[in-house]
Amino acid sequence: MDINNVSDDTQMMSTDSPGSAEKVSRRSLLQTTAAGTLAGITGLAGCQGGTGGSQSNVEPISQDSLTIWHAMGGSNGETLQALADQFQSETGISVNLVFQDSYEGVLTKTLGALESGSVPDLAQIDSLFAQQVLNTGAVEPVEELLSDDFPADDFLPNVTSFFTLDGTLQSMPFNNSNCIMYYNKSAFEAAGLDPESPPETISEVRQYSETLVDEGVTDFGITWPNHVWFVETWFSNDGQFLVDAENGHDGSASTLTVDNDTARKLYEWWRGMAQDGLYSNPGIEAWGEASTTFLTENAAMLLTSTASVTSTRTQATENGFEVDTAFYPTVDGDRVGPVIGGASWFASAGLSDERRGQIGQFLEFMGSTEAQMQWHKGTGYYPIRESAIGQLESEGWFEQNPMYRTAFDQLTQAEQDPATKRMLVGPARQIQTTIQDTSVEIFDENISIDQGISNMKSTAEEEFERYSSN
Amino acid sequence: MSSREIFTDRAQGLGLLVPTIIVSIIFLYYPAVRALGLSFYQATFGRSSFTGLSNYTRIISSGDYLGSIVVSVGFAVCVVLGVLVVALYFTFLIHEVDYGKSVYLIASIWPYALPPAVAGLVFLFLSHPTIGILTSYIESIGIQVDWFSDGGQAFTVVVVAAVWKQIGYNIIFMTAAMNNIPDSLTETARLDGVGRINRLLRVYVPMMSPTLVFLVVINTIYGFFGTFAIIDTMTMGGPAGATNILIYDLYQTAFQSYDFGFASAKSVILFIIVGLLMIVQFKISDRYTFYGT
Repeated sequence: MDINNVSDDTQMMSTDSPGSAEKVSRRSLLQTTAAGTLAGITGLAGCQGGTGGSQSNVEPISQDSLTIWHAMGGSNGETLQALADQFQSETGISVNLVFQDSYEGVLTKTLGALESGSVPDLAQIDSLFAQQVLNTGAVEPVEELLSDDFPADDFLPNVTSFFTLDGTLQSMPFNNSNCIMYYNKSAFEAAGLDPESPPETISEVRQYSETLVDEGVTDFGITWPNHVWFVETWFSNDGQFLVDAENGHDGSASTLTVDNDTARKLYEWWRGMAQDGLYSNPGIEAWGEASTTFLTENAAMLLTSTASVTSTRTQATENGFEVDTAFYPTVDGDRVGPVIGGASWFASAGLSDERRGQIGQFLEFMGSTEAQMQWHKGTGYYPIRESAIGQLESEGWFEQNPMYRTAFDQLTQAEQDPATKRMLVGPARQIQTTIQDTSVEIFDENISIDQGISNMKSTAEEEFERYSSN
Repeated sequence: MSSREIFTDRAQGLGLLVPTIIVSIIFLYYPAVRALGLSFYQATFGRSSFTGLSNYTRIISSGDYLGSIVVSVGFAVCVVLGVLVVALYFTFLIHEVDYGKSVYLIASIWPYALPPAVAGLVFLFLSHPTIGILTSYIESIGIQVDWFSDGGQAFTVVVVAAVWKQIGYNIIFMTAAMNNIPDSLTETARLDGVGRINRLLRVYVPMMSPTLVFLVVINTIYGFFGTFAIIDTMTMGGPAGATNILIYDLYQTAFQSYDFGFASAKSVILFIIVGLLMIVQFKISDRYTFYGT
């Protein structure tokens, strides 16, 4: 059951029943309605209870075509479909792409499918949830599906390192990005700021924001969605782990490593920005609202994914201002590197050899230089290959689209540091919401920074403990 | 009762009930029983182990869950009262008006025609702190709109949204009930010099009491469960749990954390809370409701 079913259910509960109420039986009817509704609520949670035990019979959802679940909507989804069509006509292997609405949607359905044994051949899983899928033991490392002569050595190491565990590529990186700063050059000029030297640290962001707001150019200095990815990026740029065991890449994580200067400086700044009306809080995971705030010139700076370059530039031009991109502002001047976000393809284990071969072919196609260039141009996600970047350069792509340059430079100038691998933890969703919710409490001054940090730690520790004990 | 009997034999009646019974068993009662069983397990995808009452002790010792109960009850009370008062007043105004009755009626029922998720989104963009259409007007009277960070404001906004969404439904029923009140009664009240508000509260409301009881029950269910989509699209239970009503908390536990055992235990508790509330409502309403002869 997914969110849509839940709301259908609840809607039904509030609307059915009254129509035929007769005087005599109205009261009893009411009571039965109420009782039925209540039973329904209890049922809500019961409808998806795992009884445990991994299945022995794995069957693909369809024998005739590869079933691939993804979370790419809009024009990104169209670009993906175009690539799949190309694959079908080249190989004759039929592919059925199924849009599952969101990464959460893909994750929920995939976990359910892996348990039931009727599986999609590939699922696009957000890197945040990778560990949860790996823990099912029902996925096969994609490296085993790729042929020996597939050129894996020219993958971008910053991208593939996250997806490699114990020296084996577990899933095929596909749509990857990191966060970057967008800024409104026209607003900078109007406020008397140099549009060619955007702020580089969070304290500079504050100075710039003060000028912008004091000059009455924009209502707020900066905005970004309250998503854990941004906190992760601040930590990695500062060379800090967010969770222990090297962000969960070296064994199981058991706590948050937030009792440090990075966290204190970050939250002091964040809280000050919010309290002084310099930061516009678009809400938790509110990607669209954050972009709208920037595009309607309510805030002059935006932190969001490099994958938004194309759409942000187009819409900024439509709204009559000039936009540019800059490196993500650092906490303290240190710039180790950003964490990679985005998703990768996970393959179901236990399928026939013929099927595995077909999946391998599809992954090789999607990982090829040509497909990666096409994907990058259509969406703004990084190509995962050096050769694709080289070819884009020789085509003059970056001269025509200089904003992509920043995104690449930020990635390729990054050091190979374990802190740039984002957290890999089982209870990822719980850790994510813990950090996001506590962030609001801190910057809204409901609790002190130290209190927030210790709350975050203890809640996370409980979640880690519970996850590992199950 | 005999005058209302339509079916000559029981088998025929039962036959017509079978589809409903089957659907109820498959989609309501069986999952409900499973949920009760599951509440004694710690369960997620692929793994489950019997843990006895530990899910329940975890609920009782959880400050967040107690907070969620307080928020839910407060939310339901505000929504039920808000909906009834506003809808009753609107109905009365529409009832009194001589021209353009149907225009007013349609205008006030309109929000109800929206699917809950759409209503949530519409209200989100009406009242969004930075880009909302109504925000600048509200700020011009000296209120700093900041409900993405301010829990009290967030609570108020979702209550207003939930009330706005539900008044149309109430107005339909209240209009029907008010139209059933004999004109002679209105005339008598007028001749006796009863004022407008007294006529509404002392004459109409008692006559409408069966409908009002029905609406209290439906609105309570709505306040506890039907507002899920509004919460999900507007606040996602935040900020800091200020709008985290039980049904949303349950959804997050089950379908975002995949903690099915814990979620089942929460649903059992929710079932008990709302069940008790219903019993109390029926007991109280028995005393004050006039069902006619």
